[in-house]
Amino acid sequence: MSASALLRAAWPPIALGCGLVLLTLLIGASDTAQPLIYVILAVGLYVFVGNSGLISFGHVGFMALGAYAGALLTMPVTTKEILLPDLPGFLAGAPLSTVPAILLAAAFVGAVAYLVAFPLMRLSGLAASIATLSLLVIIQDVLHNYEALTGGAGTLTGIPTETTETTLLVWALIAIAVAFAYQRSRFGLRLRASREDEVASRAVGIRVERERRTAFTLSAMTMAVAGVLYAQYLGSLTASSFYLELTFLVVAMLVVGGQRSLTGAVVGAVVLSAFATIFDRLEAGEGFGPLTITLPDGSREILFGLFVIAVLVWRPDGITRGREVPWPFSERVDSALRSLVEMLPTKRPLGKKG
Amino acid sequence: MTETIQDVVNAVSLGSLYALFGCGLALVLGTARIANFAYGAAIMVGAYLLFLLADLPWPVVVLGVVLGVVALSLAIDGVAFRPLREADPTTLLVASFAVSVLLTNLAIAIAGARTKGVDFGSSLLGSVDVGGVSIAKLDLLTIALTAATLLTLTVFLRRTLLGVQLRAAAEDFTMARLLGVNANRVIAAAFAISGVIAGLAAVLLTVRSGTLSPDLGVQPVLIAFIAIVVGGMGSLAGATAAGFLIGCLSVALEVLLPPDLRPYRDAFLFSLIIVILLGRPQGLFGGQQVGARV
Repeated sequence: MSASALLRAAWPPIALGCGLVLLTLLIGASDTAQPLIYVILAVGLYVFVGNSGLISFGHVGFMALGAYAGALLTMPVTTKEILLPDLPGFLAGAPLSTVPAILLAAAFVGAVAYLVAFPLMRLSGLAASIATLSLLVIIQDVLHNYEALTGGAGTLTGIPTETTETTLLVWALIAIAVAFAYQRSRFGLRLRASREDEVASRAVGIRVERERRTAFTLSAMTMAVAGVLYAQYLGSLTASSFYLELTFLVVAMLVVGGQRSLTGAVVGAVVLSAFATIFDRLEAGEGFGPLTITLPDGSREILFGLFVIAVLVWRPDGITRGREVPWPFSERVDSALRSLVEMLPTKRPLGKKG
Repeated sequence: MTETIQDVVNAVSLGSLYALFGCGLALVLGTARIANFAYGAAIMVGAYLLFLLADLPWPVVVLGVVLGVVALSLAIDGVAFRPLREADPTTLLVASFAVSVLLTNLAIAIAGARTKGVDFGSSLLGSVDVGGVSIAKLDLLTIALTAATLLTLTVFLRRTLLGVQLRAAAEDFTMARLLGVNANRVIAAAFAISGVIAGLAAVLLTVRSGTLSPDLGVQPVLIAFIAIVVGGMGSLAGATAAGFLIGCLSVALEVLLPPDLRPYRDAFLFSLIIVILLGRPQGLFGGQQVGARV
């Protein structure tokens, strides 16, 4: 594949990645942490929801499992002895650094998701959604009550805050790349075929349950990564923050952006979290340059609700209408670009550069 | 023995309340194809209306709450859902989340986020003696009110023109429209009736707990969602029965689980729901057809 064709094939993630990097540079790192976590969450949910067409309400549960797993893997031994004295031996040991903790937490959550997907992915439509919602309730109930592991309903503190905005940006880019690679892979394409027409896809030999299981596992792992990063960014965890409110927020991001495209997931996350950040500031009485209005408490959520309804009435299929970032160059520019690339000496002997 | 009877009454009472939740949501789902999450918020607003009106004589209070919630439900339909009639079910669901967020935070902005006590219907909190077993008056009232509501609804759906149109729309919306059923009117009727049920549920729920908070609608709407799926999509009777079953199961688990597992009651309840769905993905009372017909 020539360089230009490769660029064109991988254009959506490249464009989205560049957009995110630019945005981070423009608004400064400190405001981007939350939006970047939301981007990873929305992309993670998209991997399953966007490709399979089933709505899942259980994914924030996987984020919670990832967050708690990450917390237990990275907390210093002394903190664990004080806060969680009844921790089982293998978790009480010495802490891991960030990247191994993320990988291990993702592997654990992936294993859980793979197992629960066996029964859950036999369901379709709203039954599947309600089953995943049940999963969310079960995870929440266990986190709330299993005090030896999670500290119960209170806040678990003392998690080392090692995550920076740059780390978040890197993981967001990885999530976007992985999601795109999956949706263009044979597995992703099979699943998308079943989304368009389940009966027809079965008729041509696609094992729908298996494809859904793959997507479910991959997307749960992405949610787990977001969970670990979230835990490490905040330094504390509360079980009740991983419940319906966050679930609706992430689902709303996906639907507002356009649930059928990766671009939609990223755009939805960026737009809704930008909206939230702006009104957070206004509520706190900080203005933007000459614009200083102080809003009463709760008005942010009210305006948020109105905004979501307005966007959906304006575009019921989401802002992107389920399309990816289009290739921005017209055919003439495109062919000029291609001939330019072809003029470059491409066939060099291996190992000898320049 | 006495305790068992009390547990059974308790189960039937909670089951009745949950049956009301399920029935109200199923009506809107059946006709308008909206999984209306804002139903919980409507119940919450009903409870706050009750708080505002609590000093008036009780029939006025109940009537005020019911009318208020009906008006709200019609307004939600008109503003949020009517422009989205042709939209994807997921879009409708998210729109209903948005309405729910909006109403919940309106309640927070006006009344504050803290839990409030309500003094209404405290005379119902006593119990009566039935054949040597003391039974809470509120349980009896809940059971009676649910039975009366469901009976009225059944008569309405079977005997009136609007009721028949509603059932036709629930069966096959496109066909019903082709035969001259006014879509917007039928959907508005479904929202209005679901508003009546939400209003009654709000009264029962508030008297039962004696408190109100902005998130009080969440649990009911969760139960209702599960009831409509477990009962079988689009089946009104199914959703009602499933709501009843979930209430009974919940009380049964509370009674039967060993004490150290009791905090995990919800985990057990929802695992059971997954098991039911695995056994009958089309719902307990749904038809046989699961996959799409080609």
